[in-house]
Amino acid sequence: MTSCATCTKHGKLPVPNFAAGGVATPPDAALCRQLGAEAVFVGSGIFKSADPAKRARAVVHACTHWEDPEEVLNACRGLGAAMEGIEMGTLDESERLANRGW
Amino acid sequence: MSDTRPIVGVLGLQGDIEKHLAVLERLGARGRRVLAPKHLDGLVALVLPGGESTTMSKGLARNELVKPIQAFAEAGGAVLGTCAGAILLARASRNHPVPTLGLVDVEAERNAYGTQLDSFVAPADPGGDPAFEGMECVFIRAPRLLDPGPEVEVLLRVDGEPVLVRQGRRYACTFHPELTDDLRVHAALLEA
Repeated sequence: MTSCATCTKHGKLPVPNFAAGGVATPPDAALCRQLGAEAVFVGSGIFKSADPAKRARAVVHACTHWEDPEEVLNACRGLGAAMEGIEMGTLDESERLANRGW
Repeated sequence: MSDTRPIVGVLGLQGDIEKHLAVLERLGARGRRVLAPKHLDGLVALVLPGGESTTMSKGLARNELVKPIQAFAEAGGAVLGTCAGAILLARASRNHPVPTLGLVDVEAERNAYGTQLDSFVAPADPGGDPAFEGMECVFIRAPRLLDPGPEVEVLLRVDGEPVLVRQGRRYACTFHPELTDDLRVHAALLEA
């Protein structure tokens, strides 16, 4: 309850918020910062893209300069293909998160 | 009505940026994140926060901030580096060295007290600069400042080791003054 009251009072968590999950482009990371995350954790979004090293740098740049739309736009140039989403219908029943680990 | 408060920059690449900005606001200054050389325009002082010095050192180079920050300090701008920021201010670093700005004539030893688990809070030794007497110092995976040059004044020590030093208008501090309610280090920067 104390943590809840602290969050209400300050409008944010008492610890840094690391956002993660589904971040595939530099603007995705910038959006997380706009929504209040102090840090963004990116895994597949980088490693499953066409050029991981370049994309990693671009995500860091957009995350740093999230308040500057021009810098975020610049970070998006020349990156090649982003990670592709997986259509739910193509997943095996056993691969679905809801069925795993039970 | 225009805002006439002095503007103080906080290097905004990584680290404890928000807490420093909050302290500066409490002292009546206007905080500004510094991410690009243009953000140094009009600043009276600059804070290099604690964080991770490899990340920050790379960020300084990538965002082309090394020379502009050196020029800011050389033109008389006041600078405070805390923890990782103190490493960046040093003339050199040891224990996995990173490129530094060379603005304070000390050598910084990174992770000098051990790992994150060896973080601690300690009172400053008596007999330091009276302006900072009785300060409680928060050390988080802190560096040590070694071999201070002749222009460097040691203001505070903990267990005999320098933890706050000054060279003209440049302060290097191995602890985190932004994490307590004692605002004297930031106040000194604003008065520097």
